[in-house]
Amino acid sequence: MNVLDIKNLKVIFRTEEGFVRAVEGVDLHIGEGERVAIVGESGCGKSVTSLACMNLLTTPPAYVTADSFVFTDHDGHKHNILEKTENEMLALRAEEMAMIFQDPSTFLNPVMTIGEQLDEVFIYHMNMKPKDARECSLAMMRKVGIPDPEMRASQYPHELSGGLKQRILIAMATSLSPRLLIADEPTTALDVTIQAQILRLISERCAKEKMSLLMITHDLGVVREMADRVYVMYCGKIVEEGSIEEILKRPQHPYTKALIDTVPGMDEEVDRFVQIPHNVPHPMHKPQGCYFSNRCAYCTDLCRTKQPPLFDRGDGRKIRCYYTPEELWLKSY
Amino acid sequence: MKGYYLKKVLSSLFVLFIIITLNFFLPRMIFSDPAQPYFAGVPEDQTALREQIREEYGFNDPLIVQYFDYLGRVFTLDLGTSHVYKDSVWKVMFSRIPWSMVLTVSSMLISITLGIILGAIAGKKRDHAADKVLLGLSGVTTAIPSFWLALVSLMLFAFTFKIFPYRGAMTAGYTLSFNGPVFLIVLVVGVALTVALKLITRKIICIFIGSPLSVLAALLAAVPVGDIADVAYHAALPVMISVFSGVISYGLLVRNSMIAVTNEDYILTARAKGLPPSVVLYKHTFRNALLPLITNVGMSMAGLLGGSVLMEKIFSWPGMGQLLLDACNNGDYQLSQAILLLFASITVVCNFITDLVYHKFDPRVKEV
Amino acid sequence: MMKQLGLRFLSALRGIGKFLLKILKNPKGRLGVILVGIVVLAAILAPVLTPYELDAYDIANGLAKPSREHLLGTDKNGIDILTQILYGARISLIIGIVTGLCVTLLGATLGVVSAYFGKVPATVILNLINVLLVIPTTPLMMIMSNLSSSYLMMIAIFTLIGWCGTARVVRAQVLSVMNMNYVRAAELSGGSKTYIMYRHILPAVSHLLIMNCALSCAGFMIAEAGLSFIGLGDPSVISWGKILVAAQDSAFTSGLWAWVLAPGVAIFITVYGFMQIGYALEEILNPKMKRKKDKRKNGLPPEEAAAQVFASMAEQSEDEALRLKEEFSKEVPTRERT
Repeated sequence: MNVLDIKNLKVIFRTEEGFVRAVEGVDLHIGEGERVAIVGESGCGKSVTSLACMNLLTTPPAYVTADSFVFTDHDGHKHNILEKTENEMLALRAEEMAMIFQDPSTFLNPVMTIGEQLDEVFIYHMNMKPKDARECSLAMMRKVGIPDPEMRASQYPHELSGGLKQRILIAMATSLSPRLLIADEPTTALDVTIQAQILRLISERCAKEKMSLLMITHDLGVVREMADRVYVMYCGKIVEEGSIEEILKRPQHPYTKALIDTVPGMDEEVDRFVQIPHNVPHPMHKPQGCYFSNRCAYCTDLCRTKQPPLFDRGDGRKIRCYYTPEELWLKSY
Repeated sequence: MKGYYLKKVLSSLFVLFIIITLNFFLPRMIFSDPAQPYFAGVPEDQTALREQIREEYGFNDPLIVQYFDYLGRVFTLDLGTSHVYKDSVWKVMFSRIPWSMVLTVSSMLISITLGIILGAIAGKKRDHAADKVLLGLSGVTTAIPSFWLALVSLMLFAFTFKIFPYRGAMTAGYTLSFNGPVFLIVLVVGVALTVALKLITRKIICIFIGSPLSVLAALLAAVPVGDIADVAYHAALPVMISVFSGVISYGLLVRNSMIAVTNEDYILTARAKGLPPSVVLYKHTFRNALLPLITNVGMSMAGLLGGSVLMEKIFSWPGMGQLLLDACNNGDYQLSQAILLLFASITVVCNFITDLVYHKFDPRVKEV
Repeated sequence: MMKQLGLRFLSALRGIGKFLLKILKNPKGRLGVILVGIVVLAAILAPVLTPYELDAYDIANGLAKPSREHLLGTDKNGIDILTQILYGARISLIIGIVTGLCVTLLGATLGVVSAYFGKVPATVILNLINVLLVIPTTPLMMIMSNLSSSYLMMIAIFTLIGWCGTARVVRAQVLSVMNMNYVRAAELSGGSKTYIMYRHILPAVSHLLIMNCALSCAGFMIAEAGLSFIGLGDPSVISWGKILVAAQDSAFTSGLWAWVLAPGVAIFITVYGFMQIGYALEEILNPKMKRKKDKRKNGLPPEEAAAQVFASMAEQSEDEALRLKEEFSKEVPTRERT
């Protein structure tokens, strides 16, 4: 049974220059206890997708629609997220689905102590008294490995390091052991040395509380460690979907291939860094055909004319490209 | 932390010292003979008598001696006597300060309250009428001098329609009866209750609500209702004018900072935590959005005792502004000098307090 | 040599002309230039525009209601109010513009010096600002008026106290620009201090200064009107504030509305004009403020427009796509292996 099942999610933003199409028909499902990743460059719509999952986008400027958007909670009740009002969402957020954000330094309220911010979850969801809530907060802080939690609880965010702040956010998100944890680039703003610790903490927490994980990232290294299944997103569309081994070993979409090639291997000697030619198209001026056509090494007139659909190639693999790997291989000569 | 406050105190003291020095040299710069005002009524040819006055007030001493003499007097809070009012400068000022405060405090409280409400509505709902009114008016009102607005409304409401009185703080012939001891007793009780409440609940907000309330209670107890009504009737028009411009500037400030804070990342975190919208608004958005207001209010606090010279002149209000105007016109420099010193020191003190209060609400301020 | 200078002068003139044209193209700028232009013309052409003199006492005709001879009526001494307002524009403009320029120049210089020339000037200037910000301007002005009541004194005191604000803004901007990577890069590549100042730092603060200048002109005009109203400034020179004092004395009881309203409207027009020019300058000079045309206004309500966009995002089916691929492979054969 799937925790989250989204069919044909579309999100657009109304700006001064017209509508920006951020997400254009994304199908996404996350099984129980499954770890799923969305990979893509910045601006491809992956963060917007994650915010839509929590129903955190505000209208206006964002307009959201989907053929179906079903979330199944602990008790097996099905919720249509898009039809929920802000007040109806309150019971789901934190208790059933929670989120970790990109930059821990801007996502914590600067004028409230760490303790106050953690307490809120328990006070407003479990109807606890402030004193009991603080006990729970301290216990959570110990669980995410924060030394001397009593002292930290009385401090303000600016007094903590980035790694500690991210641990606080993880504690905040996992304190009610939600069914789904969404992590939106949780390590991007951190030092490389801290990144591995934070990722390990997230996996540990997920395994212990039996949470499903939706990981949003641009880092293929992170995906290898953290996900069972991967969606590759480009310009608001999913271009490839499959299990992590399959995708890393046998990428089929030219974009995925290019993305993997850009990661320099540790063991091989690199003469020069591989890069994808040109830039991500401006969201207001996407190509008429395949969105990757202007950067693709195998582009044809067909690609330039009409957007390909997401072909189902069996084994849970889906690729948004007219050509099979064999055809592409032929073309590369 | 202590270092930060120490540095603040030292720099405040330094500023005060400079101001006092400036104040000493000002009359000696302006008047060819600083003793001139003391000769009032003494004919020019009575040189002996003039010399005697000069000697008596120490004008014949070397400048440096006079300076240290002045410093000494200021530090013992002796600001001299006004030769026009023939009374201690302090006494003269204290008879006027409460009148200025009637105008300034009431208009400031009203405009802050209304400004916060209007700004919050405008900042939260961008297509609300409040937003349009605020933005539309703010573009125009900054270009309109408020004293002209006061003149026009005075002519309209006091002369054409005769709704409001046109001058003074009370109906002619009346004086305010004020029961000093009762005022003090009620005030002390009120402040004691406030402090007790703060100690029990540990919420700093108690002080901000409790102290104005106790002052209000003390005033109500010490002044007869009829007198209060009369003063309120006279103050209505000037207060409304100040409130009009105040509401728009405070409202715009709150609106802009509300919009900025609503877009902050931590508001998203608060919503993702599943907090009720009211908690997100009051606990997270408001607390951050009102921070700029603290600085702004702190800066206008200094003007509370001073009042506005223009408003008081237009409405013939017997406050500090009017006193300063008279003092300057009469060449009563002991008084005008004292007023300048008082204003400047109040500003210094208010700046210091603002720093402390701001730090209480925003822990990010650097600990230099 | 002379020729070169002349050419330089010409190109500078052309630059200024282009800039003026830009201001006129901006709607706010156009409004501001028109309003300020009217006031400036009125101030210059005052003797031509009105047949009356400022000292034409005509007490028999005093406190006259607006009429064809006296469009805005007359004061107690029978002097035409319109004439007073036209001449009053002079002092308002002079004080506003001169003070605005002085404050901007002094503020900019001291602001740059405090940010760019090391610790000692910075400490001195910052302390000076601390002291000056505490001195209440109006009382000081009133006390100083015993020394001299000329308008020069007013400009001097305005400048002496007013530069603090500009200096602080400039200092903050210079400090933030100096931390920018492109300035660091210029320093590392051996740019001299004067070169960096001229090439990088001045351009970064100039738009701020120009806008600040226009806005402070507006601010000082209001301040001047207020101070004239409480009796400061040369008593022999007419100004809008002084017309209003006289109006409060006599116009109220006799219901001469025009006398009270006209000076205020004049102040409003001038100040509003300068403010609009200031905002226009900011829009023109600050590249970050470039306004894009709002395309949302015309057309459908947002929900319907959004629904249309959603509808346009339909995808083709797999079968259709495969058919399309067939078609294309017939027309354009896939590239042969080479």
